[in-house]
Amino acid sequence: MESEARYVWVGATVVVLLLILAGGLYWLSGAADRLPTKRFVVYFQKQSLEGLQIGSPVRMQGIRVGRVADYTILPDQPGTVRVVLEVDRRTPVLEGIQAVIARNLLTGLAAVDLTNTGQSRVPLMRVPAGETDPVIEEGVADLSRVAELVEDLGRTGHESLKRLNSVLSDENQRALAGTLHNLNALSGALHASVPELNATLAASRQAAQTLQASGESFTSVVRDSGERLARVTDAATRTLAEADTTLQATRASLTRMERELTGIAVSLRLTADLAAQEVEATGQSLRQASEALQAAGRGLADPVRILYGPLREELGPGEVRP
Amino acid sequence: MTRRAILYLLAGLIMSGCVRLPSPGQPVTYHVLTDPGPIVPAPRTLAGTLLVREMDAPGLYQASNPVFSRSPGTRTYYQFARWSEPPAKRLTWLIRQRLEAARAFEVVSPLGGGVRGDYQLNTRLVDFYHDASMPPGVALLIVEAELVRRSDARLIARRMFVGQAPAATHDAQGATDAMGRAANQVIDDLALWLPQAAAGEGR
Repeated sequence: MESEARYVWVGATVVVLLLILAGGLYWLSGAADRLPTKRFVVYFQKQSLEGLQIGSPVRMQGIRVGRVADYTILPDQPGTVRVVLEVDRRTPVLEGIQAVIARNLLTGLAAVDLTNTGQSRVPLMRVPAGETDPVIEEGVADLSRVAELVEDLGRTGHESLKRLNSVLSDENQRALAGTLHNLNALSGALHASVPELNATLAASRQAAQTLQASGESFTSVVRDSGERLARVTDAATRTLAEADTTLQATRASLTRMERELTGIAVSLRLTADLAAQEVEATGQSLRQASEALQAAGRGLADPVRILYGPLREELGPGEVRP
Repeated sequence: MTRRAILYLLAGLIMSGCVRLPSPGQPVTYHVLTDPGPIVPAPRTLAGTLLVREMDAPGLYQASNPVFSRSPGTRTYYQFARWSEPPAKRLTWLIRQRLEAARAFEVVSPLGGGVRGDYQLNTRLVDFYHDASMPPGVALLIVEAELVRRSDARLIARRMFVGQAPAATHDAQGATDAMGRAANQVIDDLALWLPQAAAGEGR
């Protein structure tokens, strides 16, 4: 009895230990920490992936949100590495998100930092053709930006130095020396010309005084001329007024003559018209009188008819001879 | 010589007593050509003065005798009938009277009357006789009329008017009555046509 009871205890203990062992192994494998994830793909072309390995953390705002699941150096696109990320499903991976490589300067270990650009609030769900997962765009690391700035600064400094060298070339130095020499000669000549300049200034002063005197004379001449011109203007104004009066009188006379001529023309036209009527009526009367005379003459040409009256055949209807 | 002349004169006087001149068959009657109307007022009075020229007439119609015809192409005067005045002159006056009464123009005046005119009416008496070939016969009047604008001496319109009227009796009285009715027809047509022609509608 006693040995059977011991076996039960041993068996139970073994089973418990096995369960504890299994639990420990499960805990150690990290499977307990695994949460539901979603896979994304990043194609890195511009950044170095030194220090990045499978399992490297994926972070967003400094918080680990996933891990690098896989990577592949694409054989047909040199310099391009396809990296597969597993990201916690609760992480807001939005449209326009960018992935950059962040590297610890001491350990050299790399991680993938995800940054939402804020351009969109729509979750990144779209899977491009030929892909199995959504693709995250590669961003530019801050260190890269600093390096580009330094590179630009160096390039600009180099350019400035080159231009300074060209300014200070031998040819320019000779030209500058020539200019300085000419300036020196000019100042010497000016110094030598000072007495002459002084004489010129004195002469100019005298000329100015003479000109002033002439100006005064000219002013008096102009004043006299102005007075004469005013007199001439008065005379011209009077003459123009008289001419204007004469022109008005002439215009009135012409208007009166035009009216009279128009009246004469109307009278002439009327007279001609009436005269033409008279001539026409008189001509018609003369013509008819002539024809009547001819008819009378024809009647007088037969005296027998005058003496004995018309023939019987000439009598009209209802008329009888005696 | 003187003695012989006196002898002939005496012989003539003696012989003239034996001769008898024929007396007139019947008295001469004067007929008046009239236009009894009716006078229809024109639709509107045209501005301007119309001068009516005296009607032209061939020599046959310048006598005062009415004319008849017994056979085609012949004309003869009535011997004992007269118009009160030559028919062309009378017709001119009748036309002027009718146009004045109808108020077709502002002023209607005879040509040569001292009035300046805008239009002129020329007429010609083509034929005016009593066709007596079939008793009692028919009166026929044909008049040609022209309307002229005097400002530019332009012919506006020309037309021939014909009037016919049967005679009631086969004599001068019946003929002149019928000729008066034919004249009335022609004047009616002329008074209707003239304003239309002047307004440019009767061309």
